[in-house]
Amino acid sequence: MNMLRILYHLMRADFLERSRRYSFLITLGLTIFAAYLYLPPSGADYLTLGLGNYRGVYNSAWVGGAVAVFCSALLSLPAFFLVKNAIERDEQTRVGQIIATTPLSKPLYTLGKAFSNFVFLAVMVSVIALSAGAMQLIRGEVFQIDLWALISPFVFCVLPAMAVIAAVAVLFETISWLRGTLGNVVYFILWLVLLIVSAATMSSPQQAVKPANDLWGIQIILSSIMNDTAAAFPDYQGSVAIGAVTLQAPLQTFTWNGIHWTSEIIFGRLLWMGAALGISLLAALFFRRFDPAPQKLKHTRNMEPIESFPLDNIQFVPVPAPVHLTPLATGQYAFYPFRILLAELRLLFKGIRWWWLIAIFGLNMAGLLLPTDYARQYVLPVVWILPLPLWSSLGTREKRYNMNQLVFSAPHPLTRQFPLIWLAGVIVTLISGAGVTVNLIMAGDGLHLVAWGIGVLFIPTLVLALGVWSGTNKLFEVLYMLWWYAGPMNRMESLDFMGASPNLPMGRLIIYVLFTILLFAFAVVGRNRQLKL
Amino acid sequence: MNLSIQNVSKQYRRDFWGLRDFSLELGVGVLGLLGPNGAGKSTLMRILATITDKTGGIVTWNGVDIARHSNDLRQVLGYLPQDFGIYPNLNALEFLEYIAAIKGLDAKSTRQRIGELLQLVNLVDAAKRPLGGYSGGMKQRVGIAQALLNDLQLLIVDEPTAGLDPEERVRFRNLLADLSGERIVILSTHIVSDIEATATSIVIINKGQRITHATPEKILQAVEGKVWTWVVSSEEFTKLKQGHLISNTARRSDGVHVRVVSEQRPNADAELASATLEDSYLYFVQNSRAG
Repeated sequence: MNMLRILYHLMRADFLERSRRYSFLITLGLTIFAAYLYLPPSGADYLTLGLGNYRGVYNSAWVGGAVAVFCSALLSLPAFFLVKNAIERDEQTRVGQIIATTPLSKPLYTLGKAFSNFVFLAVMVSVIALSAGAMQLIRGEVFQIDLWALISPFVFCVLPAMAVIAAVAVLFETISWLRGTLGNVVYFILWLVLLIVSAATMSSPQQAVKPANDLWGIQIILSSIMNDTAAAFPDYQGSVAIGAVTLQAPLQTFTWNGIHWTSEIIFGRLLWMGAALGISLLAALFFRRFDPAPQKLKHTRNMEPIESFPLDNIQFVPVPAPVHLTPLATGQYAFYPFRILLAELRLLFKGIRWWWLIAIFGLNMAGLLLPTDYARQYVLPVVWILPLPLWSSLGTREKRYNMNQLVFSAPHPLTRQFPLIWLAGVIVTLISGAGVTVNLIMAGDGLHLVAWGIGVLFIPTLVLALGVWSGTNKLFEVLYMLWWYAGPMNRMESLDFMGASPNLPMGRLIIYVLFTILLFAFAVVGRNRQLKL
Repeated sequence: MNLSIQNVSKQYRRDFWGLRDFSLELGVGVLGLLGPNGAGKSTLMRILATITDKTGGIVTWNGVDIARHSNDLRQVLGYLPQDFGIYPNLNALEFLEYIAAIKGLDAKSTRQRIGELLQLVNLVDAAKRPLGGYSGGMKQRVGIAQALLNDLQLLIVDEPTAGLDPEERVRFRNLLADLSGERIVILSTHIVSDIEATATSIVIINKGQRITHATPEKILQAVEGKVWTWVVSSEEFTKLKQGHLISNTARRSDGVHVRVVSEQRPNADAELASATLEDSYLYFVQNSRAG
C-alpha cells in the first residue's frame, strides 16, 4: 500500500509539473491537429493509411484503428523526447538530492519515474482517442459511435508501446552515455529499426502477427485491415503505407468492423507491458541516486596518515599582501570578433571525445579520396550527422547551464555575440564536411558545391532558430534526424538540404536559401526575446 | 558617477508587482539592499543590470536612459546574480577568458587581469580544473571573479557571500570596501553583518516598495532607545513571543535572555540596549507590514 502511495505521489508531482507547462498544451494541440490531418475528408486526393485506392468507411473501428496506428508509429518518436527528462529535472532542480536522502529505493524511484512518464503519455493518448471520436462525427460518414471499437486499439496497441517508451526513457536517463545527444540518436535508430521490422512483416495480408516483432502494435491492426481489404477487393495488391499517399484512381471504401481481440493478442501486448516493467527495474541498476561524484576512480592509493595539527605550537603567519587589480589598457571596450569566435569554438569543442575526432577525420579522408559521386551521396550525409552534439548546444546552452544572466548582461549580446555563435556553428559544419568539399572543388562540381554551401549555412541556422525558441536541444535533434533520414539518406529530394542527391533543381536551392534567411531572422527575434528575462 | 532610479515599477501579473514606484539616487559607495524574501531586491538588481525590462519609470546612468542605451552601462557593469550557472567543461581560466571575450575586453590586459582575479579569489591552484568539479563556494568565487573582469563603475552583487567560508567572506567584504572608493556598489544580502561591515548607505525594501534609504548611522538612530533586554523564564517567554518584536534570544542558566524592539518599555525589568542593524531592519520591516 505504501509503495502504491509513493508511486502515486511520484507520478502526481511529475504530471502536474509537466502538464502545467505551455509546451504540454502546444504538443497536445499539434498532436490533435496531426490526428485531424490523418483522417482526410472524402474529397481529398490523398490517403494517410494507404491500401492502394481503398480505405475503410469512417466508422468508429476504422477511425480508432487508423489514429491508433498513427499514434503508435509516429507519436512514438516525439513521445520519447517529451518524457526523457524526468530524472534530469530532479537533478537540475536539486530535488533529487532531497529524494536521495529519503528511504526511497532505487527500483521504486525508477519504477515511479517510468510510471509517471507512462501516465503523461497515456493522458496524451486519451486526448487523441477522444479527438478521434470527434473526428468521426466531423467527417460524418457514420454517425454512430461504437466506443469499444474506437478505444480498444488505443488500449491494446498504443498504451503498451507508450509503457515501453516511458521505461526506455528512464533507462536512457540513468546510463550516462545515453543521457545526451548520443542517446537521442540511439533511440531514433531503435525507433526506425522497430518501425521497419513491424512494416517488413506486413508485406502480405496472410502474414501472421508476431508479437515479439511488433512493439508498436501496428501489425495487429494492419493485418486485420489488409485481410478485410483483400476480401472486399480481390484486385488489392496487399500493400500498405503509413503517411500521405496520393490517390492514383477513384477512392473505393469498405466497412471494416475492427479487431476481434483474442486472448493471444492481449497476452502478446501484456508481454510488452511486462517488458516495460523489466526495463524500469533494470534502470535501477544504473541509477546513481544523484551522486555528483565521478565514479572513474576504482582504487584509492594507500595514503600516509596525517598527523593532527599541533594546536599548542601555532605560529602567526603574516597575511599576504592584498592583490590590486591593474587597470585595463585604454580603449578596452571594443569589438574583437575573432576572440569571441575562438571562445565560442572552444566552448563547442570542449568535452568532445577522441573517438569523435577520429570518426570525423576518417570520414573526411573518405570524402576526399572516394569518387565524387560516392563521397557526395554516402559520405556527406553520414559526416553531417556526427556534429549533432556540437550543433545542438547552439542557442540553448545559456539556458541549460543557467548562464543567461551573465551572458546577456555583456555588451551587445544580440548584434555582436549572437552572429558569432552562428558563425561558430557554420565553421563546425564546414570543417566536418571539408573532405567532400575539396573533392567537389577538384571535380569542378559547382552546382553541388553551392548546395553544400547552402547546407553549411542552413544547419546551424536551423539549430539556432529551434534552440532559442524551444529552449531545448531536443526539438532540433528529433527534427534534424527525421529530416536527415528522409532527405539526404532516403533521397526524398525536396528534403535534401545538403545536395546529396544527383538532381539539383535551381528552384530548390533558392527555396533553401530563402528558408535559411527566414530561419535566421526567426532566431534573431527569438534571441532578442530571450534577452529580457 | 550617478545612478538614478525614478518611479520604477515592475508588474509581473495583474495583481502582483515585483517593484512599485521605486525611486533612488545613488553616488559612489556601497549601497546595502535589505529586505525579506520576495521583497523585490532581485527584480531591482536585474532591472539595473539591463536584464529585465521595467514596466514603468526610468533608470539613468550618468543621465543616460539605460533602457535605450543599455550597452553604455554594460561596458562598465560588473554583475553577480544570486543564481547563476557555469559551463562545466571549461576550467576557471577558460571561463573567465570566455566572459572577457563577450564583454569586449582586449586579450593582452585581460590575461593579466584574470591572473590577478584568480589570486584575489584564491583559485590559482584550481584554475585548470573543470568547473563541473568545483564546490559551491568555489563556483561562487568564479562568479565574483567574472563580475570584476572589466574596469567597472557599477558593481551589482546579489547574495555574493552565499556558500563562502568565513575566511573568504571576510576577504570579499574587504574587497568590496576597497572597490567602493571610486565606484557604485549595490550589495544585496540577508547577512546583515556583511552590510554592517561595508555599506555606506542602506535601502530597506518590502513588497516592492522602498521603506527607507539612509546611512547606517541614521538607520540605527531610528531605533535608538527602543531596544530592550531582560531575562524571562521559559513559560514567560512563550507568552512574550506574542505581541513583541523579538530580535534575539539566548538560553542561559538563569533563563531566556530576550532582546525586544519596542517603543515603550515592555517589562519592568527591561533595560535599554544599544541598537544593531538587525534590530533596525526588523523594526522597519515590521512597521512596513503594519502600515
